[in-house]
Amino acid sequence: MANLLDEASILLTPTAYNNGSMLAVKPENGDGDFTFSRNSAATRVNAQGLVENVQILSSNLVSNGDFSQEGSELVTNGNFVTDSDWLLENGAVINNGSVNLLGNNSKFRQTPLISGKSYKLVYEVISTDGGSFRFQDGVTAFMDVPQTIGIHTYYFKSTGDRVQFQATSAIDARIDNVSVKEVGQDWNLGTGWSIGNGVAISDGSATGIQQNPLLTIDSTYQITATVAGNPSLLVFNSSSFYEPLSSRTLSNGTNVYILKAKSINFGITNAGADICDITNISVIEITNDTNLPRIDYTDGCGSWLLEPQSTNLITQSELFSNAAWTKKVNASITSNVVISPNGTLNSDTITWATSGSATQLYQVKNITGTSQSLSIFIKYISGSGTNFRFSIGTIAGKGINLTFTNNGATLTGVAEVDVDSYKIEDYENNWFRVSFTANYANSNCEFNVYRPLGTGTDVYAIYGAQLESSISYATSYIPTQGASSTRLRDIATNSGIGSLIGQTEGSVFFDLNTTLKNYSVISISDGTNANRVVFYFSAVSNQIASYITKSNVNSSTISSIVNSYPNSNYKVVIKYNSIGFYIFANGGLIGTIPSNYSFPNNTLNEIKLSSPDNSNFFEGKVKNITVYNQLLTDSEAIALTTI
Amino acid sequence: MNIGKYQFYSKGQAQTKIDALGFSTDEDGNKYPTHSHAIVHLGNIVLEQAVIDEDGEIETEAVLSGDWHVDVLWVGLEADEDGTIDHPYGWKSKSVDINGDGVHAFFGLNYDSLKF
Repeated sequence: MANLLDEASILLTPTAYNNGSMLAVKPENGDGDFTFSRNSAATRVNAQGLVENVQILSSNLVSNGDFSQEGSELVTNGNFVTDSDWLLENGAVINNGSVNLLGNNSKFRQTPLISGKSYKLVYEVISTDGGSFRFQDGVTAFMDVPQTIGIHTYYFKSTGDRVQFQATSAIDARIDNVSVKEVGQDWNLGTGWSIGNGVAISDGSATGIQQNPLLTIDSTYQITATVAGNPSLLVFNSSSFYEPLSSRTLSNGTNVYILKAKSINFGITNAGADICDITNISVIEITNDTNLPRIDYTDGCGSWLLEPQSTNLITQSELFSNAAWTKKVNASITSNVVISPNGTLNSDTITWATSGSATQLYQVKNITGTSQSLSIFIKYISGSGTNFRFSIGTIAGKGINLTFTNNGATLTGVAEVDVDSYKIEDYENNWFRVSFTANYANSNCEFNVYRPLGTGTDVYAIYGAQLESSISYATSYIPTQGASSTRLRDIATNSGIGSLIGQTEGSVFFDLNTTLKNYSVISISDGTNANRVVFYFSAVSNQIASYITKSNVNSSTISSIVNSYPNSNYKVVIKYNSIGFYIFANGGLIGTIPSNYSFPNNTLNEIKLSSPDNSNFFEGKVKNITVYNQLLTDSEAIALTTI
Repeated sequence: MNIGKYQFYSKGQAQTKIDALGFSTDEDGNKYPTHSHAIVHLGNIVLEQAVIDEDGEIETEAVLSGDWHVDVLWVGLEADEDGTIDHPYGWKSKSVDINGDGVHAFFGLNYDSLKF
C-alpha cells in the first residue's frame, strides 16, 4: 500500500489559519489553502477548554479595574497592644488595648501617608460619651468620619502624611483597630475623584482618571466599564481614541465599546457635572480581523467549526442581575462570583432558598419560526442539585429537568415531551452547557430557569444564556451586553485547483460530522451544478449520501445509514473513474454506481463546503479533507475509513 | 463592510427589497441568496420595555414598533465615482441613523464605525 500522505494532492487538517484562510498541510505552496470568510467575531472552545472570542488578542490590560486592590497595612500598632508607635498629644492615652481620646483637642497620630494617594481607613469606636472628633491627614480635616460605636470604613484621598484622630470638643472616647491601606493603585485620579468600596467616584468635577501607558497606537480594544448614576457626559477620552463622541460616551449600567487607540494613554473623563461611580473597567486588545477560522476543541481535539448565521436574542447573556432579566421574588442573583467558562471571574450565581413559580428567572423575546433553541452554562455550587428546570416559560412539556450528582461533576437531564433534541456538554471545572430545541411557534418565547420543587437552599452558577430562533440546534455561544447579537455564517471554498483534483479519476477523504441533518453539503465541482461530486448528510439520522453530476446528468444517489465513531464523526472516501463511483464509510464499501464518471481534464476545479451554487452550506466540524488526483485502491479506502 | 439599519412599513415590504438583492432557488425549491450581504430581521422591535412589578408580574405591556426593522451588514459594496459608498438603490429612504448599536449588533463589529 502506498504512503497515502505522500499520495495526497491536498491535505487540510485543523492546524493553522490566517485571517481569511484555512491553511492546508499539503501542498506547501499555499495552493491547497481554503479561502474563508465570516465577517464577524465568533467564539470557540480553545485547547484549554475555555470559551474564547477568536478576535481577542490579550487578557485584561487594566490593573485594578474593579478598584478592589488594597495595599499593605501602613499603620503600626493599630490595635494598641503596646504604648508605642503613636504620637499622643493633649491628653490622649493608650491603655487597656485601645487609645483614649480624653478632652478637647486630644489627638494621636502616625505619618505613613503620601500626599495624592487614595486610602481606605478602618477603625473601631469602642465607647464614646458623644463628644466629637475628626480625622486629619495633616492638611485636610475630614469632619464627616463616623463617630458612633462600631467598626467604620472611610475612603479618602490624602493631601498630607498623617493618620491622625483629633477631638474637636470635650470627649471621652475609646478607639481601637485602626488600619490604613492604599487603594486605587495603578490609577491617576483627577481632582474630585476618589476611591470607594470597589468603585471610583466622581464628585462631578470636570476631571478624569487615567492609567498610563496602557494602549498601543492604532490597535483596537474592547473596553468595558460599569457606571452607576446618570452622567450626562462621561467619556473615554478623545485624546485616547479616534472614535466620535457618541461612540465613547458612557451611561448608567454596563458599557461595552470597540475603540481604536490614538495614544498610549487610557483615560476616562467626567465632562458633565454629575456625580457617578465607575468600576469593572477592562481593556482587551482585539483584532479587526473578522474572517478568522475557528479550530474548536469542544470534544477534546481540534476540528474546523463551520456554523450558520445565528442571533442570540437574549440581550444580557451574562449579567443576570441586569433589569433585562425578570427575577421573581424567590430568585436571588449574586454577580461576578464564580470563574466562568471563559476563565474569568464574571459568572453569576442564582440562589433558590425555596421552590415554586416565585423562583423564576426569565427573559421574553420575540421569535419567528417553529424551532427554538435555548442554551445556558450551568455549574452546581451547593444544595440538592435536583429540580433545576430549564424551559420555555413554565409550559409543561417544553423544557428539560436537570439533576447534578457527584458533587456537581455529573449532570443528567430528562427532556419533556415537546423537546425535539437536547444536549449536555461537559466543560472544564464542572461547567456544563445545556441546550435543547423545542417545537414552539408563537410571537414570543420566554427563556426560563426555575426550581419547581424541593426544599432547602440550592445555589448554581449560570452563564451564557442564549436563545436562537428558527434554528434546529444551539450553535456556539454568542455573548451579548445590552443588545441581541448576530454571528455570521462560516464560508470555506478552494477554487482554481484543477491540477490538484483528479479529473479522469480521483478520490477524496473526509473525516467530519454535521450538526445539520439535512443537506449539509461538501462539493467538488467546476463551479456550477453541471459537473460535480456531492457528499451530504440527509434528513435521516446517521444517513450519508453522495451523487455525481456529469454534463448536467445526475447519477443515482448512494445513501446508507452509517453509525458515527467516537466524537460523532464519520470517515468517508468517495472515488470515481471511467468505470463508476464508489463510497466507503467507516471501514467498508457502502455503495457503487457503475458508469463512466471520468471528467474531461480541468473540469473539476474547486472544493466548497456547500453546494457549488453556494446553497446548502455544510454545518458541522471537519477534522480532515484529503484530495487525491488518482484512484485509491479499495484496500486503501477501507484503511483510511477504518475507525 | 458597512452596517445599515432600516425601517419598513411591513415585513412584506422588507422582503421585497431583500429579494431584489438577488436570490436563486435550489433543486428542491428552496430560496437562497445570491449576494453576500448578511440580513437580520429584527421585526417589530420593542420601543418601550414592559413594566414588571417586584413579583415579576407585568404591570404595563411593552410598546412595539408598528414598523418592521431590518439590520444589514453590507459586504463588498462598490464606491461611486466620487469614492463614496452608499446604501444600495432603494434602501437609503428606509434607513435610520442611531447612536450605538440599538437593539441589535453584529458580533464584534462597531455600528458607529461601519455605518454609512
